[in-house]
Amino acid sequence: MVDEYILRLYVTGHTPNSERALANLNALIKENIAGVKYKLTVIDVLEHPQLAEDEKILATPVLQKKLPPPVREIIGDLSNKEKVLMGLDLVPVKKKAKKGGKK
Amino acid sequence: MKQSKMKRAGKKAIQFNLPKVSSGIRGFDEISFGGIPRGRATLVTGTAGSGKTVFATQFLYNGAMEYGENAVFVTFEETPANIMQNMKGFGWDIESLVKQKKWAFVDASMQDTTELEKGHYDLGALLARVENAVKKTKAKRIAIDSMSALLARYADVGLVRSEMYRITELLGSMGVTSIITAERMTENESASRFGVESFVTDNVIVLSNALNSAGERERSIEVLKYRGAPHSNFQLPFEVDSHGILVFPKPVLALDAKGFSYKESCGIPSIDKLFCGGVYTNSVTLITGTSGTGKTVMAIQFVLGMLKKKQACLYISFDESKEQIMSIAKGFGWDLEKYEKTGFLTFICRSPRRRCSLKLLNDVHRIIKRKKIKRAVVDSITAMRDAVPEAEFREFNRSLITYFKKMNVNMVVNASTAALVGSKEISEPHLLSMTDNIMLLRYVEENGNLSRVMTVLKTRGSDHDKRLWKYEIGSKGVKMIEPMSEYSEILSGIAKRK
Repeated sequence: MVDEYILRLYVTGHTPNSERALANLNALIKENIAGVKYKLTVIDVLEHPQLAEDEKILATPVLQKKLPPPVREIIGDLSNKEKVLMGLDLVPVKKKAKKGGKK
Repeated sequence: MKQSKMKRAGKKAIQFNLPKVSSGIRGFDEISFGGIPRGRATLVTGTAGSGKTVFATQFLYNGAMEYGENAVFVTFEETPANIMQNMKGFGWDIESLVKQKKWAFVDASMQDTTELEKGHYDLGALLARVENAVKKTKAKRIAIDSMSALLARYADVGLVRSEMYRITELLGSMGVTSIITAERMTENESASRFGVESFVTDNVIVLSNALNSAGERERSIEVLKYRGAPHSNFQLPFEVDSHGILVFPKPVLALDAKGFSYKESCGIPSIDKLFCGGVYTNSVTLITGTSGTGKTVMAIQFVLGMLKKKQACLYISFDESKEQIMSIAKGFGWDLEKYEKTGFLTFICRSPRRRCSLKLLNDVHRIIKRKKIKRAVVDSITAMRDAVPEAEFREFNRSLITYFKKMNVNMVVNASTAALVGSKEISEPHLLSMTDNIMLLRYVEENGNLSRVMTVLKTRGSDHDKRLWKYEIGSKGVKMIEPMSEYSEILSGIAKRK
């Protein structure tokens, strides 16, 4: 199995974009990577601007995959499921394998 | 002094008297009538290498050092480490300001982590970081460098525009004065690449670094607009030297010189007699003559006379180097080096060229103030006339003379005439009217010898000797021999015994 995923979702308060991103992410995890161990932290940069500074986050919402390496960031409300999975190197193997999208 | 965070008067009330903060950039406050609009955003735009980042950094650094206004630098291009390293070259120790919490970076330089853009987003995190940095340092000044890099990074130009607008609104509400840089692709392009300036800011400064026809780069700066406030309307030259940006403002030509009060020796007692007891302290003496009539020797003697009284002098030479002048002096047994070493004598030796005059005037101003100069010599103004366009020449002369008079500096100007003998020419008409005393040095043919003759043509506010005097340049300098009272038609060039 893969290592544990460390995921962080940076949002700015409760904007529609933030809410949508969180909902999309939860759905995506449930549907596609049920078997994968992961830890998701949601960080509101309005409350923790220093965390955004340390991680050099500019755009929100943004999903950051801290582990496993490489670090990846996906900007936006995560509405395009397939691209998000790809960005996370999380192309579901067992599900209908997409056109050669190995790794 | 500190106005407590002046709530922005709002956009409705455009104040004619826009409050400004000192830019900390030498010469810039003069051309902008006071500096950068306080609590507002100002766009600084220019081509690559035009000095935008230096401008922004200097504004912040001097703000923190000189005016107690802490700084935030938002960088989209270089990393903070690079900026700190590069700016050390100007003697700016940003690192220690960061340690003292007077300066914070918001590092938005490109990261390795791939940012994949999906769906709807905004730059809320950037906003939060900027606000956080401003609060943390209690910053009053901020630089955002550059907006073009931000625009280039995110595909959505409209989004970046509206986010920049939010940022400037936020900074305005926090009473922070901001500089936003933006890149122009070419010198002729409108203020910036993405057309951001019109809605982000009311204030635009343009830097340029264009090639002139002679193939030299000429830096210049212009305040394009300050919404609702006056500013200088010229594009003015600037330089980036070891202390950062140095702008050369046009001197203000107020005619506020004091009247003549008392006379002092010009440095050569026999010539003092021609002026009936010397020249007025803040007068301008024009010495005009052909090459070889001894203008430089006289200039040196004039300076020496002052130096011996422990009064500071400035020698501006357009023809010869400092070493050449010193060795001419040495030939007469005069030690100028000693006075230069002790700081009483300052040289400016330059070969004039186009657009050199503003920088020169600024250097002169600085020296006059710092060294408390009492007498200045220009040797010779003709070299300047030959090198620069006429308009620049006139303006230079007027500025220089006006300034010397205002500062109560006694001035001697040498001008060359072309013809060897019998010249009708004295000098440029505008110089004649601007100068108080005029001395004519001429060659004259007399019984098969070439002699030198001098006369005083005018002295403003005083009587003078009207005779033509024969003189020599001897081993001790200018030596008066006798009035040529037995001759006539002397100024025709050929003296005839009566």
